[in-house]
Amino acid sequence: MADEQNKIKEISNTAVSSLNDKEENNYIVEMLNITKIFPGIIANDNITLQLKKGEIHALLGENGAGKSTLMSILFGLNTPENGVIKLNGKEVKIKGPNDATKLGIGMVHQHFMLVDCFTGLENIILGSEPADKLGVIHTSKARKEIEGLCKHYSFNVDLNLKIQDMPVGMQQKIEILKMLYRKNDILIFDEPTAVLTPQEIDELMNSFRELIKEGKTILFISHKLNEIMAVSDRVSVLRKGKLIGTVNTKDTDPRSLSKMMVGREVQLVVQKKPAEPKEPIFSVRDLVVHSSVKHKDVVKHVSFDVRKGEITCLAGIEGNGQTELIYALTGLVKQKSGHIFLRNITAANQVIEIDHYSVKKRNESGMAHIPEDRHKHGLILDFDLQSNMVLERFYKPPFSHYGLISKSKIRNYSDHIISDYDVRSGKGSSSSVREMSGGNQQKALVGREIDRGCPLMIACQPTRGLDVGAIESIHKKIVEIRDEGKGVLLLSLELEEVMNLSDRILVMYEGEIVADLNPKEITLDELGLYMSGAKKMDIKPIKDELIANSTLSKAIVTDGDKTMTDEKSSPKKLGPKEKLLISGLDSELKKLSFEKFNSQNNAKKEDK
Amino acid sequence: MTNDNTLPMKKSSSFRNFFRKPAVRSIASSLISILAGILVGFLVLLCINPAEAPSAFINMLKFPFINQTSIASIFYNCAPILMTGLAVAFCFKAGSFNIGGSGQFLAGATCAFVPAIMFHAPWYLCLLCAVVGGGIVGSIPGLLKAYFNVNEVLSAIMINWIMQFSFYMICQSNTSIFVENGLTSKVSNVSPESILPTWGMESVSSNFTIGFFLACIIALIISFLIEKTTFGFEIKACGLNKDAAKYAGINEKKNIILAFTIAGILAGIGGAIYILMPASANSGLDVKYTAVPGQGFDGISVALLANNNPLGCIFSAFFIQYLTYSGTGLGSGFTHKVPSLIVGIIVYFASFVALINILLEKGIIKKPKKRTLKKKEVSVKTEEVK
Repeated sequence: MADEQNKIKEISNTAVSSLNDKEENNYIVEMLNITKIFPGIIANDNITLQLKKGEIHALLGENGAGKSTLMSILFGLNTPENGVIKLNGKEVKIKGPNDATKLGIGMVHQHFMLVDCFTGLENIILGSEPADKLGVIHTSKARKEIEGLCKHYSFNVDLNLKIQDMPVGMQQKIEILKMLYRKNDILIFDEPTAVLTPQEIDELMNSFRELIKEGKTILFISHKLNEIMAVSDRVSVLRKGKLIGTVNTKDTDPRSLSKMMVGREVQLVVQKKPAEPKEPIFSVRDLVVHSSVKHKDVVKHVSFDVRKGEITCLAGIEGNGQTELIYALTGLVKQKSGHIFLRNITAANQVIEIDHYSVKKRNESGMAHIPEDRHKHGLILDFDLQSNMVLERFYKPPFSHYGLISKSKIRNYSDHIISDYDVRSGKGSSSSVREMSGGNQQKALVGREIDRGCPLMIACQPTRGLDVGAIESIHKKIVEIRDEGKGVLLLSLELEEVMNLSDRILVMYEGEIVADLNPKEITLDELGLYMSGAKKMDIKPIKDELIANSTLSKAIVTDGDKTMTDEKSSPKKLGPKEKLLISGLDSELKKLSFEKFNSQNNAKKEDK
Repeated sequence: MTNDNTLPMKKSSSFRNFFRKPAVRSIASSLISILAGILVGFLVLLCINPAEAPSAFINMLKFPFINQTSIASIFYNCAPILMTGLAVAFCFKAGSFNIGGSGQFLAGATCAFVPAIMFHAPWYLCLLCAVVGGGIVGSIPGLLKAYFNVNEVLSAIMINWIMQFSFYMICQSNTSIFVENGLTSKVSNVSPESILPTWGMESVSSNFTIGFFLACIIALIISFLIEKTTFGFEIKACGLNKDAAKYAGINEKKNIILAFTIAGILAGIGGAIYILMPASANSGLDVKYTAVPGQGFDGISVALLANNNPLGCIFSAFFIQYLTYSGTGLGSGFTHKVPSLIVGIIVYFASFVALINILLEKGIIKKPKKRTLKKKEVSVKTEEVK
């Protein structure tokens, strides 16, 4: 108790002293002694944050450090238990986003708050429509005004395009224009660069500088130290709900910032030995995936191999078919055509075609999958943590026997993941996942998948929304499983992660693989060019025996049935059982598939 | 200074901790909402007839307890709606809304009624027929939902009517044996061996059968199924997040079909329990085609009131049946629709359970922390001043 009080005293003292250092009038926004408590966790503990007029202020912190909470308090989405917000020296009460907007505070959320089927213009005026007394909206004046803004800040935005047809970078500009149109002076950005390409990030940074010249004040949240170093004037670092300090950017460096943030030395570059790739474990041939939402093929004839002991990375800008590709590989969506093989898993030269496997069967065959969207696919938010930790394995011993769930075993297992992967939550294994911070949800999810010990790991944005400390530990784990000789297919939108972690980069653009690169031989800019479609490599289609195998030819030959010829049989017409074949599989299945194949071929002969 | 502060705080926090338990909170919220409903019901009664309202209201609440027969009547009539309530609650757990309780109930009742009347089948055989019939009828919305993505509410309502007409058709096919005064003929008169056994309970009241206890045991089984088995885990996973269930390799189509089939079986048993009652217990089902039986919809109230907890359904079914029955005791000072109105009001308020639960949660969980914190703040500030 006394300790705690001392700490609080210490912090409040530092806050007071920093307050005395400078003139109070300089600050446009002051958040003084803000405290916010959620059940089981203190999200903000007596935090004092002060923004000078016309500065770019970065807010840095681990996951669950309370950055987003602090910003949502400033934007009126949360009310603090304690503390004062001052604007230009006057105390204000912000009860909701509308109050915030009135006070000139605007916010760009991590996930944009735009109406997808509206045009850019409609989205910008949404909520403050220029309507006359009868409620008729007159857009021409607004359009002129917004076009003026675009010109002024040299934003290249098509206002008539619908949001769903816009690239992410343009959507973000719409969000910025929304704030400018409302004449907001204080702009909050929640992880603005998470979804952008390097070129777009550069543009955004330039926009930041432009905005500052106009007298705006920018507060942005980021995990990325290099951006903070490049653009910000001052940095405030939060750790576990407490303000560690506010420093001038020019007086600091990434190393010390990350130390402030995590509380220990962090390896910013992934430490790994050169890869020792072995035989392929996972092969995709000529895969086509159709999207019923976009009404077109979003993955076009993609072929690649993932080898044991290698981290193969799918890079690309969001929305170029990577998500759909992963869905097809993991069985969440059915492919239109093409083949997926698991190879060399239990025995050498063993090939299993898994095109028609259910998700469950794929899981059991040795595929682990860290899903891109942890809320949609990865976790059941209303379950407790322990149930989520056995989501794919609850029906198997030791977690259940004869259909009865063993809660104690599940609890033990969940406790083990919690301690191994440093998952922090209010009530340990029995905490509701919904109440956990995003970063800790992700850590739990990654822990669950890695801990399954599958020979193939499909990791989609495994470090999404994580801080440097957690990223370091997850990268370490991924390199570890690579070094154990497992295959890793990584999907990442973070370029740094792509460059640092992967041993081989496949760039996807508009549903095709346009480049096969070695991260050691290319620069970040070059990668960006491939990702934006400006450059393209000539990828030769992979021709090997796999597709031929999938028509059963090999099995028939090895079975010594010389009378059968199968060249004419099309692989697409075969049922799932036939595809399950080839060497190393159990003989009964082989027999089954063979019989079915026989009958099918006979039927064909009769047709002729 | 600190001692003075912490002592009263501890007391209140233990009291609050007691209320912080989800189970305590949900029971408390049920009681509060029921009391609110009774209060409003009484107020309405006061508006209608101020003079007689107090005595009539007390009579109404007392009425079910005046003799053993009326208590027994609540027990046997609550078994069918407990079963339909379980049918609704189980589907809710799987993330679907089962409004087809009436059709499933009717399917079970018909399947138990026909063999009982025509073949004098023993009660367990009738019950088995009801299980099969209810299961088949129940599975249809599940199958349509799983394979053709047909909205389960729509198809279930249609099936309610299909069952109502089929029931009417079957009864009309041989009115001499199936129909008696516009109602289904009494199983107890035609085939006494088809009536549910009483196991010696007839000494309490002539209409006591094992129906209620059977329903309670089934509620226990369903509760066990949901909480302790892998099947229940799958059902809950599908209900809470379909995408994540799919990701985890759970076959959500299988589960939706199974959930509806089991719901059908439950409601079907309810129908059988209803129809295989002693003569004095109920008057049978209306043989008509203008309305589906109300038990299916009562089941929705039962499930909602119990917050979809199978064991809670036992109490909510009993409560609703108690109110329905007590309505008849309101007395002659009121027109015959007033009792239903009052019962409706009380049940309506009882359905605010979820809201009151949330209010309790907000009121109880968040306040104390605020207080402790303020105290901390005060102490820090005083130290600073020093």
